[in-house]
Amino acid sequence: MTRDAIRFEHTRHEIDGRLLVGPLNLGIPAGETLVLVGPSGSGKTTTLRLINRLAEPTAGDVFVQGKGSADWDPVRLRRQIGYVIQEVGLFPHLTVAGNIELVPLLENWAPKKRQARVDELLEMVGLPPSEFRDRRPRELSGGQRQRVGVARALAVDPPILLCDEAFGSVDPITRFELQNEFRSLVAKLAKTVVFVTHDVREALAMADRIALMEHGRVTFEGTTDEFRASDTQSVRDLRALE
Amino acid sequence: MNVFSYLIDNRIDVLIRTLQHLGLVAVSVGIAVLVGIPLGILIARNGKLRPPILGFANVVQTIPSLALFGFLLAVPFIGLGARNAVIALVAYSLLPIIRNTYAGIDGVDPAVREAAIGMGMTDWQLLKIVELPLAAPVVLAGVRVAAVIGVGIATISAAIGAGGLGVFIFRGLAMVDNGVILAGAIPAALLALVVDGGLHLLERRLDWRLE
Repeated sequence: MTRDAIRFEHTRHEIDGRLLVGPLNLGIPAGETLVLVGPSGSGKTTTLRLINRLAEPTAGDVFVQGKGSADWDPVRLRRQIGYVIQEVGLFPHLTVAGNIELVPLLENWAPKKRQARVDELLEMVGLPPSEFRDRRPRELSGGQRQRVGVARALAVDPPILLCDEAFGSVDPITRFELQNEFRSLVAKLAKTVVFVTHDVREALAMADRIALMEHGRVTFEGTTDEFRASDTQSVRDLRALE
Repeated sequence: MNVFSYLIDNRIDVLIRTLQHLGLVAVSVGIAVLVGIPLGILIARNGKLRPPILGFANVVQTIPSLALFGFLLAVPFIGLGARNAVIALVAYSLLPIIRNTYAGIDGVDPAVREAAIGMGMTDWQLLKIVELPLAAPVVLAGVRVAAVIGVGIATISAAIGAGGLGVFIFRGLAMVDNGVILAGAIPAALLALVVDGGLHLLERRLDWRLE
């Protein structure tokens, strides 16, 4: 078996005896983008949260960088994983720079290094640093906020990125732009990405591989070409939405 | 007696009583902040402790202040004087401070909290870097309410020998002289306005929404 960056082994997540996710068996090789697609309530977000231990497996295990979840300190684990969520969750009382440099700050980087990193990241996500560094989140458009969210997630150059409907709250044109830029950015940086979306078009645009989730289980897993060619009924239903 | 001539004739006394009054309120609200903010944080973190703590603070609030001063008289080592007044004033200040601290933390956008935990903040970092700064204006609004109520209630503490501007009010009552009553009431009202305004300015400075 290859050393997957992330691997689910018989992973289950139950709340009060109700099975929300699992059993999951899924490996994500380093450098790959896996898109979890499926209807709402299918367990995509929970699957994502099992990776950074915002949810704990009730049975089975999730391995990140070869280490099982019991062996990771949750705080250390999360600092290795960039996390981008739909509502972005930018800290409204901090500037753009303050948001981006938070994890470096928690990791005790020197101020000069933090500042340089903020500018580098802003350039990377297409926001001129001199213009955006000192703005507050509420002075940004939805698309700009998402860009800052991505920059923040990349701040300490984590090997893994988790995105939950990361571009869900912006208009279609901005969304298309963000998808393209994000795709080339993570390819350039060789990140392992798990991307959750309910939108098939977005899934096909972003993925190396796609996993379809229904009722807490993966019912299809394969490359985008395999997804396009699949005869599985639920995949065909989804493709009809494309 | 004319209130203004009384105030001028007794200006040193009025000044001393005003400072005494302010001192009582400042010490009490200070203690209530030190006790109330941690309790507010505690009940924001622990839902089980919320009903008993808020319930207790609520019940204390419903005790008539004169009665509370009276009850405390009978307690050993409290008796008459400033110590009695401070304990009662702390008790009255707790509810708005605890409740607003809880409400402020509880009002933090869940997406913001999720992002903070997801990026690897410890619980203490979440509180210090995210929740308390975001809750600050609401917490301070609670402190302001506590201080203004405190200025009012502290007038009654003159009845148990704790001094303050209430001294003139009780003296006026005994003399059946409205001028003397007003010599305590007017400075007390002005003091409430000044305390309210001062804390309001501080509140605005801490408000991240206005920056």
